Amino acid sequence: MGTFKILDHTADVGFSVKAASLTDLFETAAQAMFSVEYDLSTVGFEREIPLEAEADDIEGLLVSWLSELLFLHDADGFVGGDFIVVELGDTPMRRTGAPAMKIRGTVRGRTIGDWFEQTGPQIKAVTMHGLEVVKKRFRYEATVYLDV
Amino acid sequence: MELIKDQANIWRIPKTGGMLVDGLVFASEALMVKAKEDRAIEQVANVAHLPGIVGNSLAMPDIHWGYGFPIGGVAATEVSAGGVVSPGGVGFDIGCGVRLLRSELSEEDLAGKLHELVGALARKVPAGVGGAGLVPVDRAQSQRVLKEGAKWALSEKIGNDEDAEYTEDRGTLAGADPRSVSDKAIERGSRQLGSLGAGNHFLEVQVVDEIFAEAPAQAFGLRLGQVCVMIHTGSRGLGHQVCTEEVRSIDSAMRMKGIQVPDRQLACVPVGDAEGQRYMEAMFAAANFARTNRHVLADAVRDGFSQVFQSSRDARVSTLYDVSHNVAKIESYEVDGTSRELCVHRKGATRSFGPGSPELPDRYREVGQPVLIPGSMGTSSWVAVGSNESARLSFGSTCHGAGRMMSRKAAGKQATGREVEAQLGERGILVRARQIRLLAEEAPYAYKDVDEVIEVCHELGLSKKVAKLRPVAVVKG
Repeated sequence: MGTFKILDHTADVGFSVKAASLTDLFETAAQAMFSVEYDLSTVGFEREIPLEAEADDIEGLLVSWLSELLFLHDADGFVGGDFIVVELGDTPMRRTGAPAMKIRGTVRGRTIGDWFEQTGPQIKAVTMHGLEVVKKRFRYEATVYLDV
Repeated sequence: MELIKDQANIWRIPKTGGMLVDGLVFASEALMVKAKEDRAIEQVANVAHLPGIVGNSLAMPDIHWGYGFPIGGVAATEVSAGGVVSPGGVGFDIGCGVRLLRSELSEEDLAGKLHELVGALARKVPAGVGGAGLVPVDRAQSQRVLKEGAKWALSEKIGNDEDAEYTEDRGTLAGADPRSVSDKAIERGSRQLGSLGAGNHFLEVQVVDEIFAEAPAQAFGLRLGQVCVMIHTGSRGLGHQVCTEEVRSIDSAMRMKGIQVPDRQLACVPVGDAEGQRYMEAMFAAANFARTNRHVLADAVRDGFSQVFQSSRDARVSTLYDVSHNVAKIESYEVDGTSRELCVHRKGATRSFGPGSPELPDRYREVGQPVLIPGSMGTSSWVAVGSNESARLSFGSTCHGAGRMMSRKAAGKQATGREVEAQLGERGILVRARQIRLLAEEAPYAYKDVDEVIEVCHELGLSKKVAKLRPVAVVKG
């Protein structure tokens, strides 16, 4: 499991993530995002939902992955507490114009009621502002800003 | 970055590098000190890179750091010259805005009734993160909401004709096309129609505290001591999903077209291209959803009033006006001596049309458009009136609120939600919040002084002060 840090922004919220592998980076980023709004230790697991996302590049893929999780949250009231990336990489047999990268994973969590306590602001969306995924010598690092 | 004071309240960022025009920030000395503390000024310069931009990349006095565009940013691009539209110039909460309702009551009529009224409003108006709205709509109905806006609500016997008449574009933005809105956006948002949401969105009971201009106040039906209700919300998850998907696809299309911008959140394509047209159709549809949302909530407020006040006069609540502050629209302005068709992005900026504008309802045409500016929680809100000076200076735009100056984390460290609730109580403001803890992040000291923001707009003529409204109760998510 990688580590994350919440970043200050005047109106919104950001986070930076450090992880040993890309898979770990994406899993930790999902943890970081939901930690902005909830105390994940109180969520618990009720069901597991498969998830897929595509994008042109690795930064875009991170935004797509987090946006899919946010969609589950907004459409179904589902909050994830545990995230597993099963597959991450270039799409096989690339067609012209098709997204170049793909991620497949699962999220374990639970559908929450309105009574569930928020510990931070509601996340509206994942932005591309200041977006970064960088490979360092021994690890990967990412920066993401959320619209709250 | 160089920042030159052009004249009082106007600061220029001279064109450098890839900037196509200068940046122009409207701010007093004090507001400029705050604006320089984060990355907002850099963002004004970034917006100046958008292909087809005309005039200047503008920032209103409530400017603060956003994502892509600064909040308080205004940019106009020339449609026929390959000018672009950027979803980041509208933001995720498409069509977010303010509706002001006026009642027939005076402050003294609330004596002994305020708790009951606020209780009724808090029960009638769904607020908070999850939760269904008052009129969750199915797929077929969603399509009509997206296309018809307030007209759909009227056909369902929600609200009255005046609610639509006194809404920007009379409640329906032409050119909306539900076919450009994805199934996912409809799935995410349709059950939320008729809900306030969370964050800085609110419903407030306010009292007219001071009147600055009699003629527009009279035209707007405002008098001293009058009780009003302000609703601030937007297109909920539907708009968030539309923007999320459009930023992604326009980012991709932009690179195929070889357009380069300094921040990926500024992803843009020419308005006239297929991708630009699809975004406009989807964005207009989401804006219709936002207006319908506020229309439905206004009717719920009406319900709340009639539960508490028996006489039909006391229970009467009418829409004064409804205006968005996150939207891009096609409007005509004079640039370098010729009238041009422009795509005007307002990202946290309010349209401010002056007297005579054919877009305004008859009742307001002579005085100008009501400009509705919410203060931060616990501070005054304002009603101003649009001016023709704004057409010359800011593509018909003015500020949209107080503007944040303290991060949520920093605000949270100052006091707990309960403490903020108590502080507001001491000032005679009743608070009903679903998540008390989050009140701390929205505390008044996290925002700039709305009075100073309004003053700068007034002095420059972007909008003129009409009335100051003092809050007496706040309902939040």
